[in-house]
Parts: sequence; C-alpha cells; structure tokens
Amino acid sequence: MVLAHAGHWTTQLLYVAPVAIVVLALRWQAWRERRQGDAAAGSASDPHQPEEAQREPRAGR
Amino acid sequence: MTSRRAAIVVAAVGVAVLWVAPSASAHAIELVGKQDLPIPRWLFGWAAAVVLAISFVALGTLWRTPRLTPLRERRVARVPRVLEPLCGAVGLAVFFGMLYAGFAGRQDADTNILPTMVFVVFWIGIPLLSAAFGDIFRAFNPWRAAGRFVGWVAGRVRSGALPEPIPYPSALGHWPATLGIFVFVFVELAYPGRNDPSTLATLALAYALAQLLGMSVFGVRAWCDRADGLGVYFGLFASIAPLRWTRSELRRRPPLAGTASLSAGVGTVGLLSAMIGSTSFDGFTVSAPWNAIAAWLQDAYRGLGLDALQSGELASSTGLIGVILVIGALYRLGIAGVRRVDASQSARTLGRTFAPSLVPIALAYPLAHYFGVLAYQGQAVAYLASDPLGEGADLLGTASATIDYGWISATTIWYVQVGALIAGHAAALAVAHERALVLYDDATLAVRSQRVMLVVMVVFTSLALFLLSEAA
Repeated sequence: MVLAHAGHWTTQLLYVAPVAIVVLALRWQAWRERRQGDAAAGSASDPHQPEEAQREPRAGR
Repeated sequence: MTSRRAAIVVAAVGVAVLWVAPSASAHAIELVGKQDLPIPRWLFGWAAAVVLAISFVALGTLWRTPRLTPLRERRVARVPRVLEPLCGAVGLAVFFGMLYAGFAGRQDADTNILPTMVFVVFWIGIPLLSAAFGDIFRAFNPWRAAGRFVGWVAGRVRSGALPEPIPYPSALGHWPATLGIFVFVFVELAYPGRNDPSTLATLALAYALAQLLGMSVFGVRAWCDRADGLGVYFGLFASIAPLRWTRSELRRRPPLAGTASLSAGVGTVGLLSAMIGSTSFDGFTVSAPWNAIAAWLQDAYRGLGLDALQSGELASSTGLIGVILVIGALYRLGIAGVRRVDASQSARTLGRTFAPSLVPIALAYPLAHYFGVLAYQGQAVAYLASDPLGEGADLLGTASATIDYGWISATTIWYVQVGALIAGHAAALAVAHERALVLYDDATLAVRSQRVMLVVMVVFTSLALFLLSEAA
C-alpha cells in the first residue's frame, strides 16, 4: 500500500526537503561557531600553553 | 511540559498532518485551465527556499543598521477635510445598498451581488488595495462613519460636552478584533449558510451593530484602532503601503516602513495567526487527510447527539481552530529561536516585538490562495453591479457581461501565486531583521536571533506552495 502510493508521498517529501536542508545548514553553522568559540576560549585560557604561543605572531618573525 | 515544547509538538504534529496530504480534489473555482509549467511544482518550493536563504544572507551582510525605523514620512499632498465624511457617506450608502440586496434580492449566491461583494471584493480586493494605497477602508468604513456621525449629531443637539468614553482596557488589546476576524472566517469556511444572501446581510448588520455598541462605550477612535476586526485587519495590510492617509494630508514613506514601526500588543499574534491560519485551513480542506479527520470528528460529534449539519459545522470549526493553533505554534518556535540568543526577554515580549513580521505573510497567503478567485470571480462585479438583486435589471448596461476565463492563464496565476508567496516571506524576513537590528543594535546578534525564524519562513512558504499545488 505504502509502495503503491509512493508517487504521492515522495512528491510530498520533496516539498519538505528544503526545510530539512535549511535546518541542517543552520545547525552546521551553529556547530561550527560553537567549535570556533570553544577553540578560541581554550587557547586563551590554557595554562599549560607556552606564553609565547599565545601571543599574536609579529610581522617579520 | 514547557510552552516551548508544547509549541514544538503542536507545530510538528500540525505541519505533519497538513503536509501528509495525498492528491486531493481541487478547489472548484480555481479549476480553470491547465497549468503548463516547465518544471515540477515542488521545484518551485526549492527555488523559494533558495531565494529566502539568499535574502537572509543578503540582509545579514548588506543591511547592518536600521533603515525603516524611525519612520520617515514626507507629505505628498493636502487632503480636503470634507473628503473623509464624503468617503464615509459613500461607505454607508454602499453598505446599506448591500444590505438591501441581501434582504430584498434573489436568494441565490450567483445572481445576488452580496456574496461576491463580501467574499471577493471586500475580503480579497480591499487587502490588496490597502497594501498598495494605504488604509482606504478607514475612510469608507461604514460603522466608523456612522459612529462619527452620531457623535457629531449628539454634540450639536446636546447642550454641554458629551460624556467621556470609558478608557479602552489595555488587557483586551486586539482580542476583540481577533474574535471579529475569527467569526468572519468561520462564516466563510465553516458556516453552511455562508452563500445565503439574507443570512450574510443579517450577519453584516449584527457586526455593524456590535461595532457601534463598542464605539459608544469606548469611543470611536479607541474601538476602531484596536477592536474592529475588519478595520484592524485592513489597517495591518495598509502598514505595508508606501502611502499613509491622515485627515488633512497624504504622506509617503518607504514600503514596509509602517509595518516595521507597528507596535503590537495584547492579542496581535493571535490575530495574525487567525489571518494566516484561516487561509491555510481553506487550502487544507481540499486534502484527503482533512476528509478523514472531518469524518472522524463528525462521528464523534454525532455521538454527542448533534445532527449531521451541526457536526459538520463543528468539525470545520475544530479544524479551523487547529490550523490557527499550528500557525501560532510555528511562530512560537521562531520566537524560541530568538530566545536562544536573548533569554533576557520573555517569549511574550519577543513575540510581540516580532509580530509585525507576520503581516506580509498574512497578505501573501490570501493573495496566493485567492488570486484565481479574484481574477475570475472578481469580473462578476461588472454584471452583478448592474443587476444587484438578481432580478433581471440592467442599471449600468453591463448586465450581459460575462466572466472572461481567457484573460489570464492558469500558468500565469501560478506564477503570481509563487511570486506573492516568495515576496511576502522575503518581506517578512526583512521586517523581522529590521526589528532585530533595533532591538539588539548589533547586526551579528540580529542575524543570529533570526536563524530559526528563517526556518519558520521556509516552512510557511513550502507549506503554502504545497497546499496551492494540491488545489491546482
């Protein structure tokens, strides 16, 4: 029965697909931002990291 | 269960039910010609989502500071003071003319002018005119004109000042207007006697009397601005327009500036949800799942002792309320997304802050859904105006006019519908973005706050296109 009506519900799924894609894209973006934020916080507060490594690289070095 | 979780559940279940609609019977009035589309209909949904996503990115990168607020207007022309009472008199004359047609004319929806005037010209035509030319209904509003006239006469007759009206309770907000709009859409979509001219005339008279009563208690201005459902409904659409009418001036402003400057209050979200939900429900009623749900509901109501007519009416009302709740829950989800960025404000406050973004959608939905009706049935006004009672008169010499179904093709109507939906939702994104910029004063934060709202807009667009494609 489900397979017999596949023509209908697959078309309906195609209408839902953009929503799913946008949701996934935004979740990925949020995850990336969180990861970047964690990395930035980690490098700023890591006490074991040498002080020199935390400094901004100077021009000419 | 928190209100956010409840919103997620209602929205998810509701959208799933609305979406799982296998091929359905078509809306009779829109079955004119066959659409000749170069791509499948679902691909339009994809294109719409892409346009919205690009709009969202463009807003985030190019629109970094508020552009629409504070509202900047320029005077275009002076308006003679006599124009408003003149328009009011015309509005009253048309209203009484329609009532007379409803009561005295032939009791047939096809030949009596009243049903076409109410459901096509009034309900579909005036929102479009309002969005283009501003709040013209306010000037022609017959009950407002009657209220002002009564106040003017009372002021002349009575010696001494008239008693001050009771202050309008702020707790009521837009709820009376929401009730008015709900009653209207109930009559349009669920009431069995909707095509009976004398019933329509009675309901119109009852509505007008209720408005007069409200105006007499709370004052004409306070009541019309917040509680007159139809007045508020058209006024919200008028906020989109690049023109604003005052008593003495016609002013120009950027399109959507009025919407972005709207102050939403108690009941505004409910009103806008009712506006969008009613159109969605109308699209949903042609689907197979609704037939199944309606049959189940009717059986349940019959079990309570109701007859077939009552149970059908109650089933439609239940469906209408259900779809309105789903729309409200979807919006609530968008607001939950804003709260993830800004938890300092309550969902209610944020809901009101971003409520104006629903106004362009509330226009786009009926425009897309009823454009075919307006394009074809709207022409019937030519012969109905010449024979308003349907009794064979020819007052204007146009009684023999017919509806030309060839002036616009079904394909063109589809493109107009898709264009309206995309433009409406892109405008909604722009208004929400503007409100976020004003609220946060930080473009990055504003964009982040609107991410879930983008998803909600894509859901609204895809759902509308799906319902339209089912009716095509």
